[in-house]
Order: sequence, then structure tokens, then C-alpha cells
Amino acid sequence: MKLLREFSKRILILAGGPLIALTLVAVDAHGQSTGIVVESVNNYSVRNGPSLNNSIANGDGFLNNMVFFTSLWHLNNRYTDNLVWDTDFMDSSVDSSGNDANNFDKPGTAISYFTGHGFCHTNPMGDGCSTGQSCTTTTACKTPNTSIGEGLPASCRFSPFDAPRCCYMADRGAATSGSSDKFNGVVDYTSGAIRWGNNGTNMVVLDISCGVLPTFWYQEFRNASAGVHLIATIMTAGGDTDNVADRGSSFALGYRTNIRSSVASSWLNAMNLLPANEGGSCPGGGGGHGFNGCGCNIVVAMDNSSAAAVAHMSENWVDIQNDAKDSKGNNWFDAIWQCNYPLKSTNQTAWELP
Amino acid sequence: MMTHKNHLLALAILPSLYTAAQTAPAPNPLVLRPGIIASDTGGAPGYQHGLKQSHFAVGTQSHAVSDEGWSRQEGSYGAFAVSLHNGLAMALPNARPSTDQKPSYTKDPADHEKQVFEYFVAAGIPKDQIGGAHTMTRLSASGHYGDPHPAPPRIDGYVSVLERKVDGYPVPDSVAWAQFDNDGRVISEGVYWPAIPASAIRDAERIKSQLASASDRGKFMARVPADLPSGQVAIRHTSATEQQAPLEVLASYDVIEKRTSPSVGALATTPGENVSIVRHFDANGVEQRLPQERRNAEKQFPPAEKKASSTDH
Repeated sequence: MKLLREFSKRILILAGGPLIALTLVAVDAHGQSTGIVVESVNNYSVRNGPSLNNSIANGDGFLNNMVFFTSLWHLNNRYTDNLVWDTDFMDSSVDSSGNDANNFDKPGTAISYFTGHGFCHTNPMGDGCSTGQSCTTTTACKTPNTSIGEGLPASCRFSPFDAPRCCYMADRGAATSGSSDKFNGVVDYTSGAIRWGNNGTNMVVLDISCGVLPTFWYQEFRNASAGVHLIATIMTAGGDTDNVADRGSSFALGYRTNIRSSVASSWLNAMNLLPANEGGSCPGGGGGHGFNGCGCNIVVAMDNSSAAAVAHMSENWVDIQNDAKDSKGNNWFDAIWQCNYPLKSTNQTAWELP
Repeated sequence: MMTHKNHLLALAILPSLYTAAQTAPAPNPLVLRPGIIASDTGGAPGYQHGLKQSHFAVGTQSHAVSDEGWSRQEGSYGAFAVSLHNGLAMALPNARPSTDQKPSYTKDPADHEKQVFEYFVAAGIPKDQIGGAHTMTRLSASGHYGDPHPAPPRIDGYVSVLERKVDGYPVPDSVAWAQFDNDGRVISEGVYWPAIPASAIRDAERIKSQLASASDRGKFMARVPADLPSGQVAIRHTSATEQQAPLEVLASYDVIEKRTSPSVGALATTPGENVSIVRHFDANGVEQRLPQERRNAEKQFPPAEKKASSTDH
């Protein structure tokens, strides 16, 4: 019924003009968000370069596979290159320069997708492992280098690329190169003026380098979670993100294939159709699928209870539009991810020595 | 649980399924039939996946739906869908509460990989085109703010992927992947394995022979930017995910360019990590972009006027 209603609504809009369009806005205001926001940056000539090749193609691939005649979605915003501003992502209730309510977190938005650079391995948004202290247990890691932005909690982290060593929390951020940037193009969602979901969007996708670092999949996003159902991004585990043209379109194939499929799982599946042989290999077997080296697609959900956080992972492409499912807190989390290399099923200490 | 598994009944004619714009003459339109996809003489056949070959069960109340350029068989468990644009076949389960999900895969990832390899060979993917397989891992974690000892991540399962090679050349845009459960049932899968025209294989040979000859190598490499590292010969084609552009197939000298990611302000003390971008040079050394890399939706979605925040005024 919901699908039929959506389809009928679009036909009416086409036929009926402004009066019917107002009806659509009213529907959105009463709990159904069907908008898509895409912000893509290739041109980093203003700041935060070098420029990229495939971000716009990537964002538009997502858009093309989501927004078309008879689809469930409509375009809320599409900005590219220098029209993507750091203030687009920031909340005016935290910093008066912020304007996410008209941009990335616009009311009526279901999914907001950013593709461009992320800050990575450069302090103060480094990998948190600057001390180089080797370890056998996380409890031994007590000395973050606070002068370069590291802080607690700690993790005795390892990956196919790295022997266990002490790593600490460090802020994460996306990079813009906007003509009206107010924060030097740094979108610090770990501790900046970011509150996604309190105005509009139900899902945020950050298609960037080092969107989150293991094992801080929760801590690095808690600040930004203000009603959003799901946050999807890239987690590198040695190596970095490939700037590919089809991660967005691959993600949207979850919707095209089965509207009742899991949105969160579709972000993980997005890796599967990306070339395996591009980028550097991952030690132990693996690599590619959108990475140069080892990496993972990850989705994080937060809410006011464990059950509520877990439930977000089961949202399908209709549920993600439902504003009644907005998160009501951020003290509990659930995370799922897929990495481009094999780990033994008996290995229950992947990433961190406890 | 009773399951229904019906064949895809309506298989459409695809007028633009196979338009090899770069290097191959456009063959006649193909009928989207599960099984081997014929190629031109000297080319490599493809494979069209179908529900008959699949071990994915859509569940009860199975019914066929055809809309938005896709043909689907939907049921209580999930949907098996074939793109009428390019033949991409995907099967995904319906989302369900985690408490109701199938048990995770608890065997060795190598077992999963072998299972997926054998599954797709039995389905009909030409064995001589399988250049390898590899496996990815699915994990999860949950917890509470301030928890001093959060539970370690759990390994929930695996996705195994076949790699394609034609006459020794990798075809990285072709893919067959599947996720199995402990009982050998397909949880989800995807297959895109188009036929490769002879012209693309010939062009790959041309690049290879140029690179092997001291004099020709110099001429070829002179057209490739000098600051790029060495690459490899591959056969590239339109992405499975592209649902608008026609199929293009291209022999390419693929080079991975690494660009240093940005640093943050004055505190930057370490070099940035490298973002990778794959660049493609054809048999004449001319840089090409694949259809998915040329995509730009600005005409369909023209930019709206953008206003700065109120504090700017």
C-alpha cells in the first residue's frame, strides 16, 4: 500500500501542480522523508587538495539509481565541488555559522551522501597510533599524545597490515573545498558542531578516507548522532579508500533489487560489485573492492537502548523513510561491517587485544 | 518451511544490452536467457545468472514482478532480481530482526570460498575464465557508552567473490559473489559476467606486445604521464551498477595513481595516506574513462541556487 501511495502521489504531482506539491510537503512533515541529498567534491583547488577524479560520478551514480520516475525518492539537494561548504554539515544550534537544516540535514531527507576527501593519518586527525608502543593488551595503553589530538579510550589494535600497538581515539573529519567554507573545510564530526538527524536526515553516508578507525566505531560518531537512524562510512585497516565511481550506485542497488532488503546490509554489499583487483593487496589475501590495501564498509546505529540500536540495522528501504523510527538517544550502539580480507571465524579478537 | 522457487518467466529483449562502444562492433541484440551468453568469433562467452541456476530461495508467496527496468521474483524470504538493462542478477533477503536471522557461518572462510567457487561453476560460469577467488568477512559489535570493557567484535559470516580472467587478462568489472549460511543456502548473491568481444582481447594483446618490445614500449609509455607507476593490462567494461549507459568493453593499461590525502592545519606532522585512483590507457596510449567514471547528473538535476547561512548577511 505504501508503494502504491507513493506512486500515486508522484503521478498527482506531475498532473496537479503546486497545490498537490504542497500536499507532498505536508506528508513529509508528518513523518515520511523521501528526500535524497548528495554532496560530491572532485575539485579541491580552494583547499584540502589534491583534487579527485570520481567523486561526482560516484555521488551521481547513487542519485541515478535512487531518483527516477516512479521511484520512492526525490532529490532534496545536489551540490558539487566549490558549492559544497563545511557549514552544510553543521548545526546552527551548536554554531551559528552552521546551516545543515538547508543542506545535508534538510527536513524531509531520508539519505544524505557525501563523497570526497576524508582526513587520514594527518594529525590532529591521524590514526591515533603515533606513540608506536607495541602491546599485548589494551589495558597497557595509557599514554595518548594529547598534543596532536589523541585521547582515551585506547585500543591495542592490530590489522593484517599492523602488529598490535597502542592506538588512541582521534577526531575524524570530512574535507570540503567550498567557496564559503567557515571552518577551513574541516567537518569534524567527532567533536565539531555536527548533529545529524535532528533536522531531517535519517541516514548519513560518508564516502571518504578513514571515515572511522577501529575500534572507535561508536565513540567517533556519538557526537554526530542526533536522530539519524544509520551512519555508513569507510573504515580503513591499513591502506586507504579508492576514489571509485561506483560505490554509490552499488549501494543503491540494494533498493533496486529488493525494497524490503536491509539498508545497512546494502552498504556492506556495495563492496561486492567493486573491482577486486584495483588498488594494493591486503596481506593474508584480499584487497580491492574500493580499497587500496585493507579496509571495510561499516554502518553504525545509535539509540536509547540496545534493542533500539540493533533494530535500526533491520530497517529496509521503506523503514529508512519513517521519521517515527528516528533515534531517541545515542548511549547504545550497534555496528556491522564487512572487510575485504578473510578472518578466521574462531578468531574473536579481531582488531583489538582486550 | 515450504519454499517456492520459480523460474524467471518473462525474459526481455534488451535492445542496448551489448553495445561495445570503445573497441567492439555492436553485436545483435541478445535475449536475456539464463546460461551462456554467446560472444563474437574470437571473443569470450559470458554467463547470465537466473533463478533456475540459483540456490537462493525467495520463500513462500512467490510471485513475479516486473518494473523499473528489473524483473523480480519476490517472496517471503527475499527477492531475486535481474536488471533488464544489463543482465545483472542480484538476490537479497528481506530485512528481518536480528533475532530472526539465520545463524552465522561458523566454518572456515576457505570452506566458504570453495563452496562459492563450486556453486558458480555448477551454475554455468566458464571454469576457464575463473582467475581466482577471495573472501571478505562480515563482523558486528554492540555496546554502551562508557562501557569500560566492550564485547569484542563477532564474526558473522563471509562473502566470497570470483575473479575473472580472459586469455590471462584480468576483467575486474566482471563479478560473481555469494554469501552462504551454515546449511549451504545462499543468503545473498550477485552476478555480472558479460561476453567479451574479440576486439577487446586483440587490443589487450596489442598493449601487451607493445610493452614487451623495447622500442614500442617507449612509444607507448611516452603517452602515459611519466609520474605514474607501472601498471597492468586488463580488460575493463561498464560497471554492473550502471543502469543507464550501455555496455562498453575496453582493453586498458591500468595504472593506479596515488594522491596524498589532505592534512589538517598547522598540526600536520606526518605525511598523508594515499587515495587511489585507477587510470585507463587504451591500446593507442590514449587515456579513457569508463562510462561510470564519465557520469554527471547535472543536466537531470541542475544546481539550485545556494544561500549562505543567515550569519553571513
